[in-house]
Amino acid sequence: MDKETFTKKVLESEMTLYRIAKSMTLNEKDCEDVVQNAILKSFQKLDTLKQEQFFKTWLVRILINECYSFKRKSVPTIGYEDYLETEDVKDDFMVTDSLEQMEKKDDYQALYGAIARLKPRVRMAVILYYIEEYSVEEVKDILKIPTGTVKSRLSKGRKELKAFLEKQE
Amino acid sequence: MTKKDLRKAFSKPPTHFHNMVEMTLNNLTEEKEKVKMKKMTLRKGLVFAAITVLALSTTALAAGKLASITSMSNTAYKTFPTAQKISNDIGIEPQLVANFDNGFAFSIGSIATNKDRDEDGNVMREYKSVTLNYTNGNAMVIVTMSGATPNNQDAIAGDKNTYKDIELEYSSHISKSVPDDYIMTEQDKKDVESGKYTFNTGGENITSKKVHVVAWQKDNISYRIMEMGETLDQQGLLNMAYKIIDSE
Repeated sequence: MDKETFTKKVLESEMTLYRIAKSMTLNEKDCEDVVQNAILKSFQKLDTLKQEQFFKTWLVRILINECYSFKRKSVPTIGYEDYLETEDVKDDFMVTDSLEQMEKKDDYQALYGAIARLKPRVRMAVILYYIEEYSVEEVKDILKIPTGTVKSRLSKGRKELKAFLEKQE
Repeated sequence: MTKKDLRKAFSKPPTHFHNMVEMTLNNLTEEKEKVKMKKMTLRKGLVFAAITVLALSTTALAAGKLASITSMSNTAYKTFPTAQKISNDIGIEPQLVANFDNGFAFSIGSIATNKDRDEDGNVMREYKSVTLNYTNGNAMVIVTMSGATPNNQDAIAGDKNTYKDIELEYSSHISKSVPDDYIMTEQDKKDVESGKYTFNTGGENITSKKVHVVAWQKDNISYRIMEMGETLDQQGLLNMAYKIIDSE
């Protein structure tokens, strides 16, 4: 794969990279750092990509490793509740005008909060399956875990999201 | 709750994120050499140079206030480059010195792509620079050259010297190098505001060093010679600048 194709494919995957990294790091700066590291590493390791059609999955796997590496290295210096207060969440949502849209925005904010509260490994399975729409088999390959573990993490994630969102209502 | 709802919880990446992706992709080298990324927080009213960076802004600042500089560099010169080689690489033909009388000798050089950003992370200006590292034992001096013009608004308020009708400016401050995941305290922010410290991310540990710089312009090229440390005094650093000015 040449540099031009690499660039094109990374740009096509930008949304996915952002959602995965943001869901794991929970702030914009760290999100940028892990995505940048993943892009640089993937370019350096491009020779190890055997089939171009699996580029995105391969890139996502590198990004997830970066996210886990980041989680291992980072010392929790700010709690999630504090994070919600300090992080400017406005940028994460579409600008809305109507009351209905404002309510919708609050719903999405609550949903984002609920996802962020999931344990990292459960959260990653939920993001890959529900948001990035990978199949259970693909999630299994990306995370290198058994199918049963994928299913149990998804089940756990569903239950926790449901419980949290019901509590919010 | 549907998949669509879940996706909307994240919405679109902010502009700053997209800029970072584009910059990273624009700086990939075909040789796949290891690239390094440096980010700096600027103290109020002062633009300073760090290891890989020459960063001064002019007209683009009209669109916003310079808040940070990102610089991506890769090792380009393992042997001392000629001015012609640098001209081919970034379009300037600077005056160069391979070895200084005080023992500092060329060790390695790099080309950097720098981006000046405003407080919202928008890129105000992009430009290339060449950095040559000189070592003498454990001490290091860094000479950076660029065709980018310095910004008067953010000019360093340092001691002025004149040599062969060229005005040189000497300044110094304390630079803190911190890891990428370092979160600035309220005190840190106050120190940046007051100009006590500058911060660089990308370090492995938190370290503080005196940084002193001599900057000048000649033939539309901006030069900066900088030491992170205190091996040299002000006159020692100025003498190295004079040697560059004297070179052909």
